Parts: sequence; structure tokens; C-alpha cells
Amino acid sequence: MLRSTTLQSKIFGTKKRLSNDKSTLPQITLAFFGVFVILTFMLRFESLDSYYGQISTEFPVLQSPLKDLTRHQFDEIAKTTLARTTPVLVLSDQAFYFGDVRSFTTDYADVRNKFKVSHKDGEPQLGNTLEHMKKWSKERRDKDNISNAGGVVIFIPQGLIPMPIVLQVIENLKRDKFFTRVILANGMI
Amino acid sequence: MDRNNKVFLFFELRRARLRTSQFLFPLPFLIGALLVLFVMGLTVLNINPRLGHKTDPMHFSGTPAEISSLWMSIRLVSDKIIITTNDRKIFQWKRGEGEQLEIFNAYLAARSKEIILDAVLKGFMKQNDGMAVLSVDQKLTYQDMKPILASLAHARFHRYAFETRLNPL
Repeated sequence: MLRSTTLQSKIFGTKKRLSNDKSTLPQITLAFFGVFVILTFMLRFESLDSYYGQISTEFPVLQSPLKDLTRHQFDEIAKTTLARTTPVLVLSDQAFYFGDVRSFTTDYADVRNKFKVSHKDGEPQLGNTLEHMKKWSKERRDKDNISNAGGVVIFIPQGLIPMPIVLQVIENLKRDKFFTRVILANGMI
Repeated sequence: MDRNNKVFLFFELRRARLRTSQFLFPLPFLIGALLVLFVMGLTVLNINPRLGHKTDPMHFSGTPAEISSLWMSIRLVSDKIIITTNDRKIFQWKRGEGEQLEIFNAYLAARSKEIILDAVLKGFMKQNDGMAVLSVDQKLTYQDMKPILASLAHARFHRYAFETRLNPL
């Protein structure tokens, strides 16, 4: 292959330039760690967990009559019990209904012992409902000496209510501090 | 410059660049191996146990999440309810029916026994050990949750919580 002198001088110049260009170890190490830093940010962004919260609730349990025969003699005493006078809150797609267990079970036909707070433009009026429930509780306490010392409310959403709305209602009921324990129930609607 | 010289120059310049010294020889391999280990270390499931669970819980406030023994995600895909647990078990059934519900009940009963046995052997139980955390997709309705809650009650999980996302990420 015929090579011109210009080409040969170019090749020689390139070789000379490359032989002067030494990649030193500190530069390589720095580049290595630079790649690691970038990868760390990228991969941690992908795998980093978000912040999560919890809306807790519980099932009521029956007390077991078993006696603990060991040294500790452990005995679990119920702090709160459900009764016929425990408040009940029902959520349908039209309204909130509230009363007590008796008014939604044995006295179901009686219209005077349960109350309705309709939704406004499809939006549940939970704040309004809570205010009415507080007034109703106060009247029951003053007139019939019925108190809800445990702060329990039984919440019954209709089947087709989306879960986000159910969770918002539970959280807002607990946040109000008037009710401390919310029990989800079903079977009514 | 004619075409042959151009081709020759092209290859000769690259050959010249590739003639590097050999003292760097183990380093490229080490860089590759360390990078693989690094990537694996950052994506292990312990860092984010929710990796792989595609549920979209609602963005809402709640008490900060606590670690519990049983965590599961529940989502709706093409009219099927799919449950994945924190130990990577999967259960699914068609909405409104309950084909795998008995298997799910058996699984919950086994997990409950495991938690109780663990507590007995350790001699103590943390408050949230018996709690089930449910990461529920926003598309689900209360009707879809009823069989799952009934299964939890049947398996003696008396405390349960719904997971929410606190930041909008």
C-alpha cells in the first residue's frame, strides 16, 4: 500500500501524542467514584421507599373464659364492650344515617330513633353528621343516662362505596377525638 | 488523500489508540464486578419491601406506618382481585366470586400460628406483631374487601390497618 509522507507524519504525530497522554491512577479512581455517585442517586431514587401511614381499626373479640394457671395468672379485662346503645353510623350513596345498635336491629321499624344527614351534591357531610351525633349523644346522656365512655362507633358503609371514602371517614372520625375506636361492620346494607 | 489512504489512516489511528499499557488490566474487570454487586445491593427487597407490588394506595394522612408481621397488597386487575403478601404469595379470584378464598384462609391461619409460635418461643410479642396491614388499591370498593376482612377475622387477626401514602410521590 502506498503511503504518502503526509500520512506517515500524521501517524507518527498521533503515536507521539498518545504516548505522552498517560492516564494516571487518581484520574481513573475519581472517574470510578463519579460513576458510583451517579448510579447511587439513580438507583436509590428508583428503590427508595415512600412515606406511608396507617389507618387502623379492629374487630371486636369475645372474651375467652379460660383461666391462666401459670405463675403470671394473666387475666385480660375488657376495656370497652359493645352494647345495644353503642352508636352506629351508616354510609350510603345518598346520606349518612346514625343511631345506635338497637335502632338498626330490634327497633329497625322505628323512624324516631335514627337520623339522616343527606349528602350535598353527592358529597358526604361528615362534619355536619359528627356535630349532630355529638348533640344526640349529649341528649342521651342527659335524658337517659346513656354514655359512650369507650368512644366506640360501629361504621357500616354500603357495599359500593369506594374504599378511599371509607378510609377517609374512619380517619376523620378518629381525628375528631369524639370517637377513639371505629369498628367496620357489614350485613346491614 | 485518496480513498485507500483514508481507510488505512482510519484503522491505523485506532490501532495506535488501542495500544495501551497493560498495568490497568485487572481494573476494568473489577469495575464491572463491583458495579454488578452495587446494583444488586441497592435493589434487594429489604430496602423497599413494596418493590414489585403495584398497588396505588390513597394519598391521605394517618398515623406513621409501623412494622407489622403481615402486610399485603390488594388490587383490582381486569375484574380480578389480586392479593400479594410480604412473603411473595399470590392469591387471586374473580370479583364477586371466591375461588381461592379457602387457600387464602388456610394461608392466613398458617401465618397466624407462625406469629403465635414465634411469640411463645421468644417469650414476648410486640404490639404490632398480630396486626395485618392492607395496602388497598383505590379502585376497590367495600364489597370487595368484605371477604378479605372476614378471612382476617377467621384467622384471629383482630387488629388491622389500611395503608395510606403520606407524600404525593
